[in-house]
Amino acid sequence: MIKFEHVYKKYEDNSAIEDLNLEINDGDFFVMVGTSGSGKTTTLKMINRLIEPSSGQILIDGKDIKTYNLQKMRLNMGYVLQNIALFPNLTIEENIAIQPESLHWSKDKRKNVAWDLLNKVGLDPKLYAKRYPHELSGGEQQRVGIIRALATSPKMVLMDEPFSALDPISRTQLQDLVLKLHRELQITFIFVTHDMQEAIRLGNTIAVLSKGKLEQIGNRDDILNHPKNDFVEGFFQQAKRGPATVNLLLDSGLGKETDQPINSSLLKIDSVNRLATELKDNQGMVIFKKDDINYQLTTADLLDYLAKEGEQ
Amino acid sequence: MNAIIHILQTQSNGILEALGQHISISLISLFIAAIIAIPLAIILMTHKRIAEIILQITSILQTIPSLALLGILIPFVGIGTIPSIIALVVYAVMPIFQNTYSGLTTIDPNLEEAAEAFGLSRTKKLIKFQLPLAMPMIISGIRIAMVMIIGTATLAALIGAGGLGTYILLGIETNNNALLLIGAILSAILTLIFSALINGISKLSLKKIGILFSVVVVLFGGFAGYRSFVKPTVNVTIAGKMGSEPQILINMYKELIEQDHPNMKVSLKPNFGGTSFLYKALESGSVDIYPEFTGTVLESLVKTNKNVSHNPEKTYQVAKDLLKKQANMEYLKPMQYQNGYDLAVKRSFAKKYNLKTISDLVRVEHRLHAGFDPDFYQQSDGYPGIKKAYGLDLASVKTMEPSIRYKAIANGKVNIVDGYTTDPEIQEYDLVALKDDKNHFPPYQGAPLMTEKFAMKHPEIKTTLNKLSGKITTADMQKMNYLVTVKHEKASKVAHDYLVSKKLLK
Repeated sequence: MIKFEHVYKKYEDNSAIEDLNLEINDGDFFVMVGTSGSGKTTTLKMINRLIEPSSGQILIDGKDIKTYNLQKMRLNMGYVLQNIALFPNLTIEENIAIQPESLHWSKDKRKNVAWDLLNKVGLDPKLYAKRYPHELSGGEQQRVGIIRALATSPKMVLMDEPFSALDPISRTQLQDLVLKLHRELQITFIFVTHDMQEAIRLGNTIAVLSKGKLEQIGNRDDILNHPKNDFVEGFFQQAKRGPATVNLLLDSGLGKETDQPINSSLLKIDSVNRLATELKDNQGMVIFKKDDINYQLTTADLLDYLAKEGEQ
Repeated sequence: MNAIIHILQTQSNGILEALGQHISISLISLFIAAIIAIPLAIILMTHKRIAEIILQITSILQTIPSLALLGILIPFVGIGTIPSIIALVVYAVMPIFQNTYSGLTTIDPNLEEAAEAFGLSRTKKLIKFQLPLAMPMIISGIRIAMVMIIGTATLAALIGAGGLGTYILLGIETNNNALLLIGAILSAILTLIFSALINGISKLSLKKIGILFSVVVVLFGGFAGYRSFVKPTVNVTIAGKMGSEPQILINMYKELIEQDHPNMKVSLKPNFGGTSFLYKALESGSVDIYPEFTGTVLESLVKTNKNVSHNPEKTYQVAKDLLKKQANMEYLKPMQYQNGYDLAVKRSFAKKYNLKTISDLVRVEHRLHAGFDPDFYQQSDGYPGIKKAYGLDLASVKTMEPSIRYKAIANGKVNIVDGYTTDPEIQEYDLVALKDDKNHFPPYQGAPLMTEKFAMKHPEIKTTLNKLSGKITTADMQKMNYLVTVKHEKASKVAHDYLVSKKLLK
């Protein structure tokens, strides 16, 4: 568990963080969202001590992070950057194995881990392991960036706006990917974004920051339906209104509950466009989870909805 | 072109040796500069302010003219290879340091942040991405340094470190364009070859560069170790000034010493530089013996207040005594020949007007058009002195570079020139040196000069070198100079042949 206690960060004449108190539970998918200058990235970088707080304490498992050996602590934390930052002179495999190498893992073990992870994110190691970063597309590079952060099986992974530089299609694919990885690995993910859609789509716990202060912390429902103040409400209004969502379809009586296992990570707040893509990928029937109940939607449902929309 | 080919054929050994010296001086300097500059840049990459101070210092060092730098270093480290290497290192440090530093500090900050966040150690960061990413910059720094070193190393010849500069200087001094071109072209070719080699090295991985590096170090170390292991008991270093005559003399010294004393190994440093360079080298002990002229001793090495007689024996005696008193130097007995100033005319011209002595010139002074060395034209013992002593007033005088005036008389542009009595051009252009019948010119006799300390330690060398005293006539010397300078024979062969002909060698 990570705990911030009265953390301040002051730069010469302005303060970036003011009296921040929060807890991040093990295994959580914790998203910090806010506009630029909100202090979200500063908060993230204080966890791996790229930035030191001016005052206050940050604890991991009850111990002040300053008492940990800095290098050892960082070697056991994954880190994903907005600019991806793969080392251009190293192959994909060497990039993934950079932390394991520092931990003196054997060559075979490093290779196995790299190949397993490549397989996991849909990059064929036979094709990709020996390539160099510049030979990959942006989306492929960030897949590597993500698995590089997972290579040592760390207890937590820090992600600093990892998808903001990607095109919308890659972004959606990678959002699905991190959700899948989180489900499988049960690691604490701490994720920073300025995109409220992304925050709502990914976060189990969402912390909304503004001007160095924590405005609200809670799950998706809390934030969307019980905003603590005008700022939070205003910030997420667009996400609620937005373009037609899956929720709208369900609310209008389309789709039905089912016992079949889910085949998609579709969320109720996803757009109709996304539903269309998922339907195409899944032979016309999408099964997904909403509020712990599995629902199914078909192409016919979508057509029904669009027909009704057209009438209005 | 033919001259170049001829020299390449007859002097290939000397040229190869100079090339070898040039390469080893350059490589050693480059190597030392890299060993200083690269680690320094690595250490300072996180100390921006200190790095900037160092950059300032190195760029100031860079602005010192190389000749001045060599001069500054002489009192501290003497002359020869070591000061040359120091000067070259001083020059080469700047480009390597600057490029390595900027290569290391301009890496994408995102990569630095990633590495930091991954918990990589300083060494890991260096090996994994900082050095590999900075490598193209480092290599180009090394290449810039190398081009500078190979070019500047030609100046090493000025202070006796040898190398291709010897040929360039010799070429300038003797107006021999073929020699100059050989020196210049070879050093240009060397630059190209090394540039290509460095390019090749830059394509290797960090690991392979490391292996290559250690192999070179082991080879160099092994070679040096072997050299010091097989060294004979006594080493004697003999140097000579620029030109063929000193070179012939020191080769004679070498042969005689090595014949008489098999335990001694003589190393020669021909074309070592000017008088003051050589004299300082003798004082500092980097040279043991060099041949010096009696006239030069009185003129520039000792202090005299009275006018010394122009009798050769007296001149030698005064020079010997003053050297002993003022500088603790031992001046051995001189050889017979005189290498003083003379006035020369064409043989046909001398015959036509029956000219034998300088006094004879007065009769035809209105017909004489002279080409004089600027020094000779100005110095009191040169033309002004002659004018006074003989009452000679020439029709016209032009000053010209020493090497050009012989061409001028050969082409009929002038009909009288100054020169030295042993100049090979006297034979080459069929000239006659007129007798200085009033003993106006100070005598210049060559004799071996060494420190008293060395003479006490090796009295046997004195005995050996005194075998040459009173030998070698002016005509002998003229002929030998002619063989070396004009016919491009090897100085060592000419020296050997002379010694054999005089039965000084067994």
